Amino acid sequence: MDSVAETKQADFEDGTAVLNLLRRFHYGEPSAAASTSAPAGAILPALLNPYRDSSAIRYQYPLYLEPRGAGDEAVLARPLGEHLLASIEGFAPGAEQCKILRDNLPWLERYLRQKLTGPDPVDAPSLFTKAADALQAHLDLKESNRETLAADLEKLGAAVAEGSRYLAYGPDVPLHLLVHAIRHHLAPRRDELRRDVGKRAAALESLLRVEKSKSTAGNEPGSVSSSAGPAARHLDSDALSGMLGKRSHGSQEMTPERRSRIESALAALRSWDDNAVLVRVAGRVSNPWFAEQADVEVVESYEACATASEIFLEDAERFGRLFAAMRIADLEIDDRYDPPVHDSWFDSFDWQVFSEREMQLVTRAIALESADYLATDGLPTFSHLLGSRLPVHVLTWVRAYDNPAVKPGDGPFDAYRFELANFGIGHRQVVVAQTSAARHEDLLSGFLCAIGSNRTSLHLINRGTQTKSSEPILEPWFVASAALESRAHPFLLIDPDAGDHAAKRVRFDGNPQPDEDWPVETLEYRSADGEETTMELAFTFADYALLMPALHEHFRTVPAGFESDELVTVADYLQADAERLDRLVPFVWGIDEDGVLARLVVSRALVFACRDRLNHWHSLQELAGVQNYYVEEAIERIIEEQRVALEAEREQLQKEHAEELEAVRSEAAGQAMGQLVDVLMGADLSGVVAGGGQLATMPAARPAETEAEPQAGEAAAEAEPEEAEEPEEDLSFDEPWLDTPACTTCDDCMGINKMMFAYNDDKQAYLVDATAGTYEDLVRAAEICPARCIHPGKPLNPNEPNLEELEARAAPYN
Amino acid sequence: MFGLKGDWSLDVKERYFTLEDYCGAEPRWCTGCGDHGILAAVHRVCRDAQLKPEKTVAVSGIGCSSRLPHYMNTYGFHGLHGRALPVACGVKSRRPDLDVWVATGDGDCFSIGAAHWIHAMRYNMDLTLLVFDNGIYGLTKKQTSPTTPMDVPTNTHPSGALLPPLNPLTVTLGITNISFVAQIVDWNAQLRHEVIKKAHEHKGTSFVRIIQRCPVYVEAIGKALQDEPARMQLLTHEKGVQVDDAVKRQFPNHAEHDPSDIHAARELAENDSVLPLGILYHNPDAPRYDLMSAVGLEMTAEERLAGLNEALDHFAI
Repeated sequence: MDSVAETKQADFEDGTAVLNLLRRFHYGEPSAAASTSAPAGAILPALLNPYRDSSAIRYQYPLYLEPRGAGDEAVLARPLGEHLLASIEGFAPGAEQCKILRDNLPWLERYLRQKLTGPDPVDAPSLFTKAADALQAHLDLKESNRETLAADLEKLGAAVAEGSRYLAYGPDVPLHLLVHAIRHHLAPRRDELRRDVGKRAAALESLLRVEKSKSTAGNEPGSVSSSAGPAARHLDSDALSGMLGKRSHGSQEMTPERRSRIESALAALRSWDDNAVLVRVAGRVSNPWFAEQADVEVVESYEACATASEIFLEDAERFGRLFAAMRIADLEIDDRYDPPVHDSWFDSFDWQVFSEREMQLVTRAIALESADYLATDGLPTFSHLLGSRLPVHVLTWVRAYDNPAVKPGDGPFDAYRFELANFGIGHRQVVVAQTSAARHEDLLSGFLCAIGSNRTSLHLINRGTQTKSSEPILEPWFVASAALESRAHPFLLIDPDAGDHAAKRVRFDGNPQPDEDWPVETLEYRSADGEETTMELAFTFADYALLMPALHEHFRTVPAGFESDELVTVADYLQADAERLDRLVPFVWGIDEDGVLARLVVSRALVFACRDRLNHWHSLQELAGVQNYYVEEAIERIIEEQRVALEAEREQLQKEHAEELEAVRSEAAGQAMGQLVDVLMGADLSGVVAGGGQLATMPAARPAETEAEPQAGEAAAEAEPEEAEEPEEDLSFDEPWLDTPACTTCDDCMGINKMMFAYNDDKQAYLVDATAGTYEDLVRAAEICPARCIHPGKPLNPNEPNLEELEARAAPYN
Repeated sequence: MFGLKGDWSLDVKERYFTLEDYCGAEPRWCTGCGDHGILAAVHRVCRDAQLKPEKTVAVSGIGCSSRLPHYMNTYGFHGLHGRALPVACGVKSRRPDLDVWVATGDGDCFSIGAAHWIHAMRYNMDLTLLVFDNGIYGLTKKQTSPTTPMDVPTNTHPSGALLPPLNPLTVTLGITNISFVAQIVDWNAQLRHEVIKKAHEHKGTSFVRIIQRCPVYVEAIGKALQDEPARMQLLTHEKGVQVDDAVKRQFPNHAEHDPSDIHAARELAENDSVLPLGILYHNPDAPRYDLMSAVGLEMTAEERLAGLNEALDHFAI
């Protein structure tokens, strides 16, 4: 905040002229655009200014990728800093433990981040070891602290699992994470498949062996001898062969068709080529890392959707042969194969009849395609794939500021934006995940949903791409975060397996402040008078557009210090009444590289784009059940109905109450009059005094008693003994212990026995080894300790002299 | 904001200091002396604040307390009796970039150094002033100091001090422009640490009176207080120091006190029946003389000469 300041208000001789010029620019007049200045390249939306230097910022990347087989599928990756801190908490819980390492964790994290410059995953344990060595060298601690740190680093290193990897933020993060998720999902299933294939093949071979034993050849002496194995020397194989030949007339041999079927299935199982490829990527993959992986195959293609479909069908056919053989094997092993029923079934066996479990085993096909191509020339093929039911994952990068269907040479705001997510939803049963590489949890959530669903899936991913500029002033991760924050690229996950209604199918997780039009954050800055102050700012699509150098033509800087009531923020402008709009000029706050706040007037085209994005955001909110117009209308209606009903009921009750009151009054008046007459008629009037004193005492004879009764009752209740609080038990311990936080560092115990007591990192004493001295040492230390934090417990050595006396001395300190 | 968590700003330490980096010579205070604990607290506050040892100075006068600079691996100045504060003010005045700690005692500060105490408090330079008050001249073996209780016999007053002891809190709270006044006992580690930490964080002169045990000459003073925690009163307030329940149990007598209220602070200080523990007064906005005296420090000799000449030219005939 210190570097952000407001400029002082200047005097403008003709403020109207300045405002008119800005207004003319807003309306798109070329001469006004020429005579005003576009922002310089280093300007940032005000709320993003603190993140110019990302070297000392902890954000979600680099990631720690869990090794295969570790943890559950929901946590395949964690931010590096989070993993390191959680690991330390695992072996040294509490901020006071492992202090040197904890204090220097940011250094370690920065070191690792600086070393992770490439786009691909890096072996985590080896890099961590280098980082640990570098930290030791950097700190150059004295001996005891060095050893402490080395021990802590070793424990931390043990938490960096074998096979784990670090992944920095880069353009290929989404593909890396998709491959990572598929590996975790598919590899254990493939292992199980391999075992199942082997088991079935062995069972079929066993069937054939039995069959062979039924044949004449199986009964020949040589075959019998071979079957008997080492025991053959105890047998007369000729005699046994002769006997088997005679007694085997009852055995029924397989039909030739069945034998052929079993042999064919066995051949299919035995010839199963487990090439270990888990993923096949169709498209233009420039990064060689993927092709170098044993379980990944890259298929170069300019028609990724079509190629991925072919890839899947090719693999499905190969897997189909295996699954058919496995199913036949199951039927044959149980001898349930019924040719009239099953023959035709297996003749037409293809991927469409795969069980869900079988489908999950097929090699995953990914179509990697640009959003521009999908929205234009590739649209028919793309649509065909989305409607095909083929479980292909379509991966595409979305530039949030742009229109993917824009014609070459046109600007991003020259046509209404083609929403690829809506196009995907239009294909009804497709998994649609609109996410961002900047949010690995949401990204993985979309991938896992698609991987587990057996449906075609569409992943629309923003990576924080900026328009070209000489030097990007913000890391792409922050640009991608800004796209999410500004509603330029809202998150959305459509999971058709989740249910029949949008309420169940649509997930809206990850969107900041989902109830609001725009997220509102606090900007801290220093006013022109030097006073620290704050203002609440909405982060709009126009703020995001300011990150794109190519869109700077849509902004003009307001002269420093110029003020006008007609200058309003874009968020306020979009909420203003229609009749005021013509007078207002919308702007966003920016901060230049010197930390000076500036207002930037926004073009009408960009404001229209803001309104369009906001409108789309409202549609998504309704789809997700947030700020749903129908629901709000229904709530208002029900509240009004309830209010009217309650009002009517209240009036009715008031009316009844008034009537009843009147009736009671009349009755009471009659009774009073009756009593009065009775009294007057029967009373001795000689005692009557002026003012009716006697009358006044009569009816009031009992109240004191009636009131007294409950009081007595209350008193009785109070008198009942309350549940007695149990006295705090004096705790006593047999083991000696030292309450370290209470230690005052007086050195007294050290003076008694330095082997028994030592200081910790905060120079407060702890009990190193109670057996390193006598019980008397402990008792003396407890007696002398000014903080009374030493508790000697019971003697550990029963042979020590004077124990009785020492225990008596120790008692007050236990 | 933007997907960042609360701990987004990495506090990367380009240099890192452990307790060892602040430890100087082996302390030669008596076994059981409260000074050990105070030294440990100072080391820990330095370590937690990661003060650069070469940018830290410990200044002292004369007495047991004043041996502290020897035990700090920082710059130090073991000065003249009662003169710790003038030296510290001088250091801060010319080198405002240094972190200055002052160690003094009841004899050093409240007797021979009393005049400096008054004026240093008014200057309100950014110093952390720790007064080790054991109620006796210990280094010279048990003479009456300004805070020796009346019933304690000493070598100068064998039948006990003749006059009631000085109350350093009422004196300090009566000085103009004070900004931080606190009182602690050496034998409660957490309270001691938290108050010294706050005192160090405060920008101005932080006066901390530490009631400190001298087990050799006046053991009874500390022991009596330790045995009767009801004689002390723990000050609690959201603007004061925050301590664990364990500390609150050790001092069962509590009082809610707003440290920005100087009148309430004076009332607490004047109450002879209990010793208030915690922060009595804190005003972060009091003017600091070190900021005024440091103006122009960055000027070169030539620039100063030119400025002087320009000023003198106004008087030229």
